[in-house]
Amino acid sequence: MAKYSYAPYRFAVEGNRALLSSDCGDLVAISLREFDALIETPEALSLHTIQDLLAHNILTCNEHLDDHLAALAARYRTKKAHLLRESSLHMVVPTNVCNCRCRYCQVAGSSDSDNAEFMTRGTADRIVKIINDFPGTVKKIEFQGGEPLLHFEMVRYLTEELRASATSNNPCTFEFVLCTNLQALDHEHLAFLKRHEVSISTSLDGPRDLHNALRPTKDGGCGYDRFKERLEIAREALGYNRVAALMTVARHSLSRVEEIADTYRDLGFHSICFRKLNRYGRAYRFYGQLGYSDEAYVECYIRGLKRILTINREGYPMVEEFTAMIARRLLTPYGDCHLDMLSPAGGGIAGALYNFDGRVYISDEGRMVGEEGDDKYCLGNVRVDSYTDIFLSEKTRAFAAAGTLECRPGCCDCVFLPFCGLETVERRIDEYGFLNDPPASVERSSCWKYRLFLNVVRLLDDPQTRPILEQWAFV
Amino acid sequence: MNTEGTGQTFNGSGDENATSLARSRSFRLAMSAYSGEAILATSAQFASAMVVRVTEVACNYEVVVELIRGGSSLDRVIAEFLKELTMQQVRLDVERRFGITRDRLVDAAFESRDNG
Repeated sequence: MAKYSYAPYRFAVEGNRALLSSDCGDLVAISLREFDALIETPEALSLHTIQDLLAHNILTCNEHLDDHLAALAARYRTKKAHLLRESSLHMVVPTNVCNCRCRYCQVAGSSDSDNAEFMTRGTADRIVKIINDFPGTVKKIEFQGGEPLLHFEMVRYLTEELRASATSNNPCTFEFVLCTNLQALDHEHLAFLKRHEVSISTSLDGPRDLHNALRPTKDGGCGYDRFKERLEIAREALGYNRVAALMTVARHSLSRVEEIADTYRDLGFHSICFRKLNRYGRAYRFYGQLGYSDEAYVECYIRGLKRILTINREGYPMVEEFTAMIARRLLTPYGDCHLDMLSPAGGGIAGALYNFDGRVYISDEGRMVGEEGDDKYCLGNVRVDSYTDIFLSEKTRAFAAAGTLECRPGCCDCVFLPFCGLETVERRIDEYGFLNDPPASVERSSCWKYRLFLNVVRLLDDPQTRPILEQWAFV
Repeated sequence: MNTEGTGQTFNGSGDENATSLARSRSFRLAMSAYSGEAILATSAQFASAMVVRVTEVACNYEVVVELIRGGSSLDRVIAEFLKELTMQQVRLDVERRFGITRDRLVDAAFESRDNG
């Protein structure tokens, strides 16, 4: 009887080596000669390689098969922690009104005063109930817009109501994040945010000219200067680490990504995220002017990351959040609740978006599609539907099934599958209609996520870079 | 035309010029490579472009396609049809192999939710 068996694994040949990943999220690289031996006769491998493959759950020792399978199962559950929903993300939109006219904004009402809508207390009460009915003990509440500061009364009300709802019978920890462009921020807002430990997530698209071009204000003022001024006030009031920013990569940003990274450093940020422009909802109309190919995004992202790593080597600590998430997934056994990168997709399982009018969407992207009049990603309305109606429905379940990479052509045998995920409203699903099975058209070489994963794997091979990524992963 | 290794055999007129102007053509698809479900799913997607008739002949599907509208290249439409057919077949194969994994993952998410 053979001494070893294969555990389920996936592989990719990259250059002169093979990358192997186990189902439960171990990644190991071996030479092509070793890979051939692994396929032919694992026993012929060196003891060192066998031990490495056993440790990474590519091989199992037949003598201890049951123990090994139990360990694999435990690891698998850890990696898929989001399915247990101990923590969740609830995005709440108090209003669709905004004081900016961001060129890539997906929210129709934000630039049209005729469509101005504000959440009522009745709707907010129902949202509080639904969020409390949602299982789990750690719930992150993200106020989004429009610009939530323009309906701050509702931010205040929801924060206080949710805080008050956490009792000994409902031992829930709420974390609050206000997503704001800072333009309307004042001391009164800050006093409240400080009292309730609300963090700020803001948007900075780069140097003054680029930021102002992409995020013009409605009153014609210099958004960048006002942003800078309010940023300092916010940091003074809340503390440096309570104010983070992220950027959206538009076509105009592609050639200036290094400058953008430098701007973040110059303004004292210690993190950045090169977020890909999506083409949902209203943004779809402008994609011709602002969009770019996946290839261009990957090239820009890698350049931006290179700049961030240089900044770190120069002594200024700065994290690129998407790379940090990839590194965390590659280097640790843990899963996370990054709603845009889960399998099954996290919308409806690990979070949802509650619109000002009570409609609940599978994700922010789902709301964007809804803004265009297509409510296929709407799960229900808190005004009339219960938690069960919204989150245990066949529709929610079908979305989860459609967003499972393990059964997705092109993804199911990808070496990075155990670390990857997708947002619920993937463009491919949109293109092929509601809940239709996606076709087998995901080509590995053109998958931007695959290329970013591979980039991180290569960076981890570099002894100068690995410690930086390890620091990002283990923070 | 016989395309070895693809599981497809085409019957055209034999004259390349005539073939490019033709509005209908028949070809065979090996049953060992394609399922009836994949062929039907593909045919449904092309319903507005062409009429598709499928019969069984020995170990093959005999597929007869006829363009509904003029102006389209039959070669191109058939090429698209075969591309989509491959996708549909892979989709079904993946579903057969991994559908149970997906269902168990989704069950896990909803079971734990029920308990919550």
